[in-house]
Amino acid sequence: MIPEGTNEIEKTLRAVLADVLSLSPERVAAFTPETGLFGSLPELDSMAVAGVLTEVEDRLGIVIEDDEVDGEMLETFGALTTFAATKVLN
Amino acid sequence: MGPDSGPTILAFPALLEEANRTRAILVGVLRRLAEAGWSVALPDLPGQGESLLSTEVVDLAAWREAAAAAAVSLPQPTHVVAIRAGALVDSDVAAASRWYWSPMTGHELSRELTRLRDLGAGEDYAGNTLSDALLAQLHGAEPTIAPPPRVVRMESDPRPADRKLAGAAPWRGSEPSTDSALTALLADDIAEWLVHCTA
Repeated sequence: MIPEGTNEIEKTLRAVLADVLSLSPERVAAFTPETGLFGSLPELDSMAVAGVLTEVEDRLGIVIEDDEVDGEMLETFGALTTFAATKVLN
Repeated sequence: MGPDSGPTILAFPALLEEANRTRAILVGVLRRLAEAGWSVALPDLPGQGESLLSTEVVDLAAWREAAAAAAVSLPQPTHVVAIRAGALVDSDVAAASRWYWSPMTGHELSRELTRLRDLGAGEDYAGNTLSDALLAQLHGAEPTIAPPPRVVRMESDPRPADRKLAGAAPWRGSEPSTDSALTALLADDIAEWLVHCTA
């Protein structure tokens, strides 16, 4: 279930992925909740993941603890969105 | 590069992997400034750039010492230009002015490095072996605020800045960036700032 008010958060996440993975705006605009991220995008190596997490933290004003980082929250665009939205709104 | 008399622009690149991604832009900026008549210097800190020292034996104190030594060896006055965590190494440089592009605290860098280590095999930091001393020293390190630096950030960065720049942060991309429009913008910003400082 995706919490309310996630449009801005989603927009920010698309921008982060575009910036960190050097993807075109068109490509990230086409991401759906089912789009695979970690494990699916070859651009997402450990350096890129570190960059994504830090940018998400900085732009959304949240702190992502090390034990919160697992394959699940990075598996799909929807999972990342839900994770970020939950953090922002709580 | 540039003439042999002061003032001298002393540049400190981003640290570690970010240096690779931003080097072309930094060199491009310094080249433009030199062509405009400024004296510029870009020292290699121990373990960075062309230095032969392994990264695991260097630490922030060593970098700061090397930065200060580079500064006094150059025609005065010194004007610092630093990128990202490069803004942590000029603390002992008696600079007439400081210009920082997306400065970060040592805590932020140490957090990123630790995250990188944990995401990788847990042995090193994306191919760099780093000492515990470095990580510990980074913890309380902050950019220098005297004299008050001019701070420029990317517009995606919510932190305060004197100016925000459009576009993706070059240190976050996977490939080294050669954005010439951004290079020109940065060089012009620095030149304007220095004219203001040296007036």
